[in-house]
Amino acid sequence: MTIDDVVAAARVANQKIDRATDTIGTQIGTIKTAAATVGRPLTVEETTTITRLNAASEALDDLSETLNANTIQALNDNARAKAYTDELEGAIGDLKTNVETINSVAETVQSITDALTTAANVVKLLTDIFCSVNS
Amino acid sequence: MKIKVIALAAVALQVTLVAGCASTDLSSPVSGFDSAAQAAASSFSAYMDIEDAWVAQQQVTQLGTPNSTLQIVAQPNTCGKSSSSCRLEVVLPGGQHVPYGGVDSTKELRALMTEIVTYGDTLDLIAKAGTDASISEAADKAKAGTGSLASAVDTLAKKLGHASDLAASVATYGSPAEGTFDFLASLYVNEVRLQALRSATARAHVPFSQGISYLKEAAEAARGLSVAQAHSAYGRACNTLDTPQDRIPERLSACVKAAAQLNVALAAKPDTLLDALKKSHDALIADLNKEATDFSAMWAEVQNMVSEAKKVKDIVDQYKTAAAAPPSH
Repeated sequence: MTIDDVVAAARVANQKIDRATDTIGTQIGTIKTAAATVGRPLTVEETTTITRLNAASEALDDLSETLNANTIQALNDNARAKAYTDELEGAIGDLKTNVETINSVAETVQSITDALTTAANVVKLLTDIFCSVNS
Repeated sequence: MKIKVIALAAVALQVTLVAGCASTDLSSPVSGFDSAAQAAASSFSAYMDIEDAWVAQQQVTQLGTPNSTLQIVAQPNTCGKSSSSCRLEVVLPGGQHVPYGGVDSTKELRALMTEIVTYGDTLDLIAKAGTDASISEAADKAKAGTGSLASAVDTLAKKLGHASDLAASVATYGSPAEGTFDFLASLYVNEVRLQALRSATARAHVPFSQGISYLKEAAEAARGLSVAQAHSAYGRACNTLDTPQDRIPERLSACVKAAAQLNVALAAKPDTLLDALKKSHDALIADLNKEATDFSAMWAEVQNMVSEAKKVKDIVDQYKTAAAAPPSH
């Protein structure tokens, strides 16, 4: 059974637990509403039934707690988490190199700007020539 | 008149270069992704705390169970009269020692989330590396161009795959025209930065996307755990108010409080933030790849401008020569 199977099985089990818990909640509500609507207290049988339904609901909640906690632990223990972490660590190593490269380029930009100045200065030269010719 | 037209055209070219190619702002989408990563990490951490607290509670429960095989002992070199501290640990069946009350059952999952945050932070570093301010500072220090400096530019440009032969075109012109070269230098660093971000996000895309799915599964399970705990507490508080005698203010308040806590647990959607984080990463990649790489065109224009200017200079020289020559008639 793979970790994907575990997660998928847990998801299905959770859905069933949730539906069962909701059904119990609805039944408890129905009993209480019926009694309150006609203005009478709960009978002994109804109280007993509600107590049993509550106990069942709590047992399902306990089951859900255990199931979900175990799912998380299974995910944590699985090698996939480590594998993704390792891959990201590798990518981050590359990123750090990239930061150094860019900073290095920024430092070398003095050289870049100097040379680009040559191109920009041509425009200035043209203006100078224009001015000298027309002076 | 011919000279005037050419000179005006050259000035117009400079204006076009500066005005027509706005510098790309890479910091905004990267910063957005970084913020999304930190928000998701905060939410994820809170859910993993719930899991760890549950496991710690189970540890306590099992220790107190009759016939439990777990043992609680002092950690090595602690709890003695000459020790500087006292810490306990639990010995599990099989001999594994676990710090008491220091359960970290979600270590790997947290490590993965931490790496994602580090990834976002480092992308942010790239986006901010070599800021315009540092470029301007370097530009302020710039002196007249030399052949060796032009060669340095050619080397760097070629590393980025751009044809460059400025060294051959360098001549001893006058003082720099600052606005233009500041802009061009910014564009150059931006190109380096853009390529670094493209390469980084492309490499991280698969482990990032799959890691997010993995963290979503854990977050959904943690939400299920949280809801189960809150629902159980709600049941204990609200399902025992069957008779008027039961409905005393304290118990009614406890029921209302438990219902409010269940409401919070049900409303929380930890997977939504992780989905948003994945979408943010996808959007970042799309943003980085749709940005027009106008450096190549700019570079070609610059070199073309140098070439054209040299022609103009030749024409001017010829004009001057002709003007200096005695009338031929």
